[in-house]
Amino acid sequence: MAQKTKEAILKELAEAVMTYDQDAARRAAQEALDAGITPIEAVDKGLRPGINEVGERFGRDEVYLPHLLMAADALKAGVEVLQRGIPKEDLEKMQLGRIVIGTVKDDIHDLGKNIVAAMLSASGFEVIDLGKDVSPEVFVNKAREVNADIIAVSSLMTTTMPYQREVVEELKYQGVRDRFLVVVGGGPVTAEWAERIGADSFSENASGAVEVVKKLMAMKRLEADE
Amino acid sequence: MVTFWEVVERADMGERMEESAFDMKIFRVVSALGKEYSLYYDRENPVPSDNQLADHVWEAGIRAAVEIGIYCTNTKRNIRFTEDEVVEAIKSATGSVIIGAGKDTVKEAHRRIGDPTEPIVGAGIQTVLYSSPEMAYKMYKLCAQEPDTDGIWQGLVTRIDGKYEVRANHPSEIYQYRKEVELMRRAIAEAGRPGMFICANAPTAAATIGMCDPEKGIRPTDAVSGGLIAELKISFDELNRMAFALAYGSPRRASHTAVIGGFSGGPETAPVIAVAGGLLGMLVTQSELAGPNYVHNRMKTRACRACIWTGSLANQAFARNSRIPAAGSGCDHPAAGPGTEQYFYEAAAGNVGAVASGAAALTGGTRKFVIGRVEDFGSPLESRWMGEVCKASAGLMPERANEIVKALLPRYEGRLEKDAPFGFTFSQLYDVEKETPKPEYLRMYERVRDEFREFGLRFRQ
Repeated sequence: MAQKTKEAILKELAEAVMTYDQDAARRAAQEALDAGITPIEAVDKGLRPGINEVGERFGRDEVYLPHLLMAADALKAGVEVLQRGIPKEDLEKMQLGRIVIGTVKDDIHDLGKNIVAAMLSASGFEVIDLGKDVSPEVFVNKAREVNADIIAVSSLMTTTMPYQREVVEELKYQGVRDRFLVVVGGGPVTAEWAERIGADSFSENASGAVEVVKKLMAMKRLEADE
Repeated sequence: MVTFWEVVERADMGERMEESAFDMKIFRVVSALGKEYSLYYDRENPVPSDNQLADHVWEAGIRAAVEIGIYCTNTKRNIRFTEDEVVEAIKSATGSVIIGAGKDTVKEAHRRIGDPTEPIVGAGIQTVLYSSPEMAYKMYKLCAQEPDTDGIWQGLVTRIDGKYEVRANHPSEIYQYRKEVELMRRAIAEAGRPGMFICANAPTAAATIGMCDPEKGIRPTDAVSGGLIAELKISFDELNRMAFALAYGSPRRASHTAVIGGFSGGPETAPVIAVAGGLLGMLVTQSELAGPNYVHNRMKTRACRACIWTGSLANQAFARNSRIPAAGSGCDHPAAGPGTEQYFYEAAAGNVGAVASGAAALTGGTRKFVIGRVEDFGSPLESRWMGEVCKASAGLMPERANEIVKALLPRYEGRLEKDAPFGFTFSQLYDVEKETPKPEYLRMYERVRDEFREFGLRFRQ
């Protein structure tokens, strides 16, 4: 059997994500490694174009939240294969950032948060979703445990918005405010509120959240390089 | 009938599963049902007139209710019902709920498609923040004075003594919501409608219970709102609210929101989960009303094509196949803010479709999605609009409603996201002291209403 070209393998990686097929993603990832394609190239030119296409279809209402989640799972399955045996510093390069996300204490609205989490995953971020009704301590402890870059805090009600501030206060209390970037969002949340409570940024909607997080990570990397 | 305590027992003892697995189960089941029943979405005709489709949505909704059940977020267990239990709940529905007191009593009764009976309207600005008790009092009083409104939504004065913020599950919440409902009672009494039903919306069960008082607060004649969390979930806090409502003897208003583009799938299958959620909400809360609501996962309006389609079909499914009054939101979430023509168009499009499709009660009130960003955001004139449009739409058939919606959509459809007009506050739209709309706002209202007369809506005035 003729050996597959590099382009064919990268296309298979993209298609595995676009068809939500975890097994196919694992197979194509192994083929990529066997063919000498670097993990970074396999992600950037294979898996990521696939997830980008799913994200665009989601934005056009052609696919739905479950598809986005399944595509993110397929991407993750491929990345897990590609990660095996590669140096830690290369692994870091493959990853855009690690985000702990959740809806604040006493707020059970998680639609917006779920979409943001799925879109961040689909954009290549590692997302740890804590769900809804999450206390400030849980946000901060989990962020410390997984060494997150960003804590993303959602609230849909004016009466639960103060718990976004509590997350910032908990970070200060634990003496780790400088270790994490904090992004807030949700229906009643504004840029003024984010500034007032000492968050690093805010987003009005899900697609905006991905851009905000990308910008914050770029700034963080720049600061780290300086 | 399954009792409330059997439901609670199932929340304690049902099959344990992860929430993410439950979410995907919703999507898996509804996708399969969509294929089996050949469900479709006709975006060119947002208010459908296909009776067979409505009946298929109903059948699929019952099957989804049985196959999926509800997820309890506290115990992580799946509350399931048999088909016999769901069917028994449907058959035993009495067809109406009496709500309100004295001369302000109204009956939320099942309506057929195109029913000439006027629906019940729960207006007022849901979840609005007020800058002061004085502004809140005026708003409640003036909304209650609107003759086409039957019930009124609660908002909240933002700060205690103008200083202390109000937080959920905090002493401030208990205190401020209680003071708010007392203020509402006084305001609606001064408006001459002391028995009009109040829609209470405190975030937690504790604050809801704290508001209940036959004299000064929520009476047993007011419905206690609550129910399922999107999508097809319930928490103990909601069950606490319902447990109290049962003991207090008040009607329960259970709603559930299917998410178009969420685990409910697209507009072809979301009506199935709207129906399933309506039925499951009734079972869980022992309610006589179903609340088949819907929202789009991305667009902050209930007046987009997909929302109008989903709401119309879900209402038609209940109207054709049961005696259950379907009570929900026609369009309490316009993208445009109050005081704009677009607000009126969006609100009307959502409500016209729902009323023609058999909604028994439109109880979402008037508000914009991001209501919490600005205090005193809105005015009583939006309640007037909601009441007038809903009552004047009685008797419209879906075919006619579809024509109206199709005429309205081009006026706002291109401005449903970032460029939707933001809107105005009470004092920008009203002379608050004189308690009258500003002349330019009233002129806009009357101009828009004249356009709707040309559509065939028969307003009383």
